[in-house]
Amino acid sequence: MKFQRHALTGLALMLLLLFLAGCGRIQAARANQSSADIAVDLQIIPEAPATQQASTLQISLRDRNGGPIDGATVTVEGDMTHAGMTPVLATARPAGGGRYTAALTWTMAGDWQITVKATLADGRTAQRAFPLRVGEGH
Amino acid sequence: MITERGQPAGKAGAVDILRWPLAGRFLRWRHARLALQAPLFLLAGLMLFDGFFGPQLAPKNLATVGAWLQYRGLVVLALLIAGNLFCMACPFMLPRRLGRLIRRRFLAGGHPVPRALRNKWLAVALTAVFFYVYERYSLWASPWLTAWVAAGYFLAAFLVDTWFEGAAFCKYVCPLGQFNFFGSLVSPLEIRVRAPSVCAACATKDCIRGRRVGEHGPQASPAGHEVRPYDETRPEKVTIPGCELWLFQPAKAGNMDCTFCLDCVHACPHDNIGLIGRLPTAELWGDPFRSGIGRFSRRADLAALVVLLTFASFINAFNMIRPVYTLRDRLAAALGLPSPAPLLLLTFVLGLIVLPALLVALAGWASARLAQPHETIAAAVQRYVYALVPLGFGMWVAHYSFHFLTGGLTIVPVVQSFLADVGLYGGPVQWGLGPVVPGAWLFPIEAVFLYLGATGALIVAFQISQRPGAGAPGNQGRGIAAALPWFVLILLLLAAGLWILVQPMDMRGTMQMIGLPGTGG
Repeated sequence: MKFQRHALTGLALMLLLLFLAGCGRIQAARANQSSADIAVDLQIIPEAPATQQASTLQISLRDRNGGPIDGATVTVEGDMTHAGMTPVLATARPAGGGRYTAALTWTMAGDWQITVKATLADGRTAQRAFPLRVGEGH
Repeated sequence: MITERGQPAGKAGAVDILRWPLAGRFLRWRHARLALQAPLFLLAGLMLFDGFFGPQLAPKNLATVGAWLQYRGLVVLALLIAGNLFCMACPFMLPRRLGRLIRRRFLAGGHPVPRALRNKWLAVALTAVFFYVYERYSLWASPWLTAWVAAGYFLAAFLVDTWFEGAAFCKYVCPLGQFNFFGSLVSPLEIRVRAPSVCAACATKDCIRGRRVGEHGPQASPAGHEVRPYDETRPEKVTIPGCELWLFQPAKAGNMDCTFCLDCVHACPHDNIGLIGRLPTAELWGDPFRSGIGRFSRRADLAALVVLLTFASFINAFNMIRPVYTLRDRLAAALGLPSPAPLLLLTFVLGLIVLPALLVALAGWASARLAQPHETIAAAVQRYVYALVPLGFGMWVAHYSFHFLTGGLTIVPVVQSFLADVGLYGGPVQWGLGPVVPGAWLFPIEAVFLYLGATGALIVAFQISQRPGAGAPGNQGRGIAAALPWFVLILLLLAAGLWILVQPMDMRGTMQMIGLPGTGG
């Protein structure tokens, strides 16, 4: 009985410590929120993407006045909405006029989330997620 | 030969894990279960935390990866190669200890479960609802909802087991537990007595009554320690509980309702209970009286549970394939429905109620006609339906192993990401990790599990047909003939399972999951 009490008390303390440590997870999430001054848009070609076919992703970065933002480092990550699926990643190449392009090949049909992350030359960051449904290629 | 109690006779050389030097010594330790529950409880805590506060993308969250990938894959593997190990280490039971304290001090002891609820009907209903909710709200895609499900589970287990005496939540409520009981019917290990003669001579029946350490005088406990000398002036307060699922060991047969909690092992003063090897599916061949359960053939609720879990294994996989999505989308559009959700409900009504009832009733009708002329359809169904268990479990293993083998290694980058966010890891997060085996291996592995399940099902149906009373006395042929409709049903389900497994899968989640707090969408 004494052992059980000690064990359960220790367990409760460890759980508390883990929760406190986990607060760092929240802090990290907050740190990734994007600047409201930057608009991120995405266009996917073809409009109905399918597996076994490469898609071109055209990303557009604009400031609050609608002006193009060049010189940013833009990465694209495609994640399925189902746990256990590995993401597809790409780094976009600048195309001028605030536009950036990347290519992705979809590994499975279904629902995806495309996350565009941009780091500007001045250090500001922007991130936006876009839902996408990928069909079965032939 | 199977004894009246469904236990193989003359199995003197059977494997007994509790006699193994390391594993056996650990499991015989009174606090073994706590030692197993503690890390799972911590993991559950982390999963809850990440589900509520972490990234809301399923492949990146501990809650979804842990629950829908790791847990499901590992639990079926454990059931296949050992037994009900998850129930043994169940973290949902840990807060129950606090509940017992509350019960003792404030509730004047637990209340008996009402007689009307002492069956599996509530568990059957909850399990069916769980499967529907899982699909309807795409729990696999939502860390937030997954965390709420887990939190709800902890709360429900705490409330039920605080109010009611015994392990009422495990026995009458828990959908996860019912799935584990179902799977453990074909597991290779079973908790059972070593020598029935020792139990026959036992006057104290500690395995179900429980005992106080030292109650039997200054003798060693089975583990050889944790015993204090018996002192009449200071009675020991330490109590080792007996089986809270009312499974009296001398009359226990099989794994139904057994959570592998090992209370009986620790309570037995004669060290007469083992974790013993057996032939998988053998417990389904006979219909002995089972302590705490009765006879399977007289339990319509258990038959319903078996039918539900068998057909749910097919429906669960069916709902993930592309032809079904396409058909539902087109029907929804044709009918002018705002979403395919009503059609999903229709799929479940048809797949979990109408179709199983029709197929099982048809097989039962044919079986009753081919066997004794006076056997009712209900009697035939309740005798043979347990033949579906290996096939249903085989389909679950095939499906869950697909997901586990496809993405089992994603737990590594998810944990790395978590540790990086809390400042405990500074290296690269290896998001490229995922598959455990090459993609070309997946279908063959799934097919092997399904074929094994079907083979087990055919064997069980045959063995049932050989059971005394299954055919007209002295007429073995009529017994086998009565099993034929069940052979046909099993082969039909096998064909359906293979068709489902070869279809392209669409990994869909409800698109509105994106846009919940933290998704950035």
